[in-house]
Amino acid sequence: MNQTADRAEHHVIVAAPSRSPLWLALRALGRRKIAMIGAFLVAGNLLIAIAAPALARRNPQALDIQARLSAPTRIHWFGTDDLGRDVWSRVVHGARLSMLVGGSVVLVSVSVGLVFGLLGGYYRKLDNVLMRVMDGLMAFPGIILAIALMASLGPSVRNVIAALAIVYIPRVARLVRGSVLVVRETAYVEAARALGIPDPMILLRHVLPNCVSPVIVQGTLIFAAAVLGEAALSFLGVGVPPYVASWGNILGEGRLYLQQAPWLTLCPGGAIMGAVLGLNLFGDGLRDLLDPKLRGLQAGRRER
Amino acid sequence: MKLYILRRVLAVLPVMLVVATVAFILIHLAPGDPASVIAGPYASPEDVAKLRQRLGLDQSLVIQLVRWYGRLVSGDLGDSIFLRRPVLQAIVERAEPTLLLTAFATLVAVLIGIPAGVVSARYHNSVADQSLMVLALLGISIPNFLLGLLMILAFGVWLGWLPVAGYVPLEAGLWSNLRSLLMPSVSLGLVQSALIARITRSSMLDVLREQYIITGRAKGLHERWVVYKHALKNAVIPTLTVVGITIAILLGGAVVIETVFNIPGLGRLIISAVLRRDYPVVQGVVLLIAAVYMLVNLLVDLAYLALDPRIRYQ
Repeated sequence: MNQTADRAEHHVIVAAPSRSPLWLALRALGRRKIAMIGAFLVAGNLLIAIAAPALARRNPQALDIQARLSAPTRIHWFGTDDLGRDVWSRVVHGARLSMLVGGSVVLVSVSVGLVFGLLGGYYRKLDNVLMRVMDGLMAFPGIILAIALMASLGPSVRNVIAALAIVYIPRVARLVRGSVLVVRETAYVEAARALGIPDPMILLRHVLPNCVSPVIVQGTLIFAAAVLGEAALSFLGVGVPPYVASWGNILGEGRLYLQQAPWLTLCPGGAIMGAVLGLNLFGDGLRDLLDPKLRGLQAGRRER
Repeated sequence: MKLYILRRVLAVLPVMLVVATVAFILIHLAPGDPASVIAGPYASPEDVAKLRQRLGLDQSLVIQLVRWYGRLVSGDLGDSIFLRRPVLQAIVERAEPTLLLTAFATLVAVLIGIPAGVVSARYHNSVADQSLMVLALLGISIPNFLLGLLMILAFGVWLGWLPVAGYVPLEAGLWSNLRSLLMPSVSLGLVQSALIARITRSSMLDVLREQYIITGRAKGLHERWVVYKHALKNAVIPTLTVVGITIAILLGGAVVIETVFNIPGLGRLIISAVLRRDYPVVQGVVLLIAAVYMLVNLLVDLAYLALDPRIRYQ
């Protein structure tokens, strides 16, 4: 009986989308021009990534030694590299790789970081050990830790994802832990505990939803950082294997031909900037929208 | 206060323990037997066995770990497999360009970031403010190695004003040294100045709304005096924390920038060590950079204490 009532209520909420918080949030985001430019850039990048096989005019790995280092032409829109590979096709497939790496790093680091943060913030004994380990990992500059991990793991797309995820897990964990420490002292968590609700249930239903919004913002920023991280690792030659079409790889090869073939630097460079700028703009917009602390501050400022 | 300082200094110890352990684990993360990986596919079984013994890999993990801590305490980072000399010596030989590069880049970041932030806050919402912030946003979105490549293209290749790449050591003269480090430091520092400008601007905007600023203006102080004497002093404190982070990021960035400009520093050392699987060198450089990072953060915290009396009395 009770369940039916629950469901009916749920149904009403779904049927009235104009009142749902998600819809309100999306509408508020739509009003922010800068965030919209960011969203537009991100969406464009995702589309290119998905449609890469269709957009690429050639196999990004196909060699054509006779046409090596050709300047941009009608056949090769972005020119060719030192092995005669079509740079346009490589840049487009590079978008695919960037989105794959960025998305996977966000997925792994956010889910693992959430678990560590929830456990650390809720169980004080575990906290000490967990956070010391996180502090230890954060004592390395991110790129250095990633390089060191790549040294042991060896070059591959999967290992780049793993190395970058390990770099960003502590950042998510610290953030989540901070919000859990606040939420666990609230009256409703105390009430839930007094009612005898088991800990996992309290964590999932009452604590987690109240810690999510800063993580969403952090997620977009980690996405941007992971795109940059992959590019940097591959540029240095310790990221994905050389044959993989990656923006960092094209830049790394292009460095040797900077004078003869500047398009090898300019084309993937522009792609990186567009992708990262979009993610940063979108993340900034989300932060203004979702961070209640910041929103309170702004409201306070207006009052003054 | 002395207690606080002591506690802050002691808090570094567990972090250092974790850092040392992470560096130790690195060598064991590699799939398969580290000794045969390091020796390469063409090594004979005897060579692999010899190497395993030399690296102490024939012992149990616990014994290896304890020995590792012991060696670190006595300052022994082991020997490089390829360079045939102690890792510490290799690091010392390569440290000069990296440290100079990091220092100059920090200088660039601070000298551009703080004034840009102050101007932006003082003329809030003006054209200058908005264009500076758009620039800062662009700056955050461009990776330092890409900016380096673009600068080489513009100033080295097209205009021919500066050397395209290479490093002139300090011994060969301050002027040539500065000239060779100019583009690397700017490309590294400029990106970071964007972050500093954003932080300075927001903390300056907060401070400019404080009561004592209103008082200052009400009693007829010159606006310039209010901004630079009263507001800036307080607004710079949060910026200082960011400078600490900045130095760490720049140290990491220097490693990447060195590849762009062919500078023989710690970055080239660690990258070539990674490619040759020279694990002791990788471990040594990683440990050293983490140690410098922790030291900088400690110093920033202590400086914070000296600058902001509110923290002292908590």
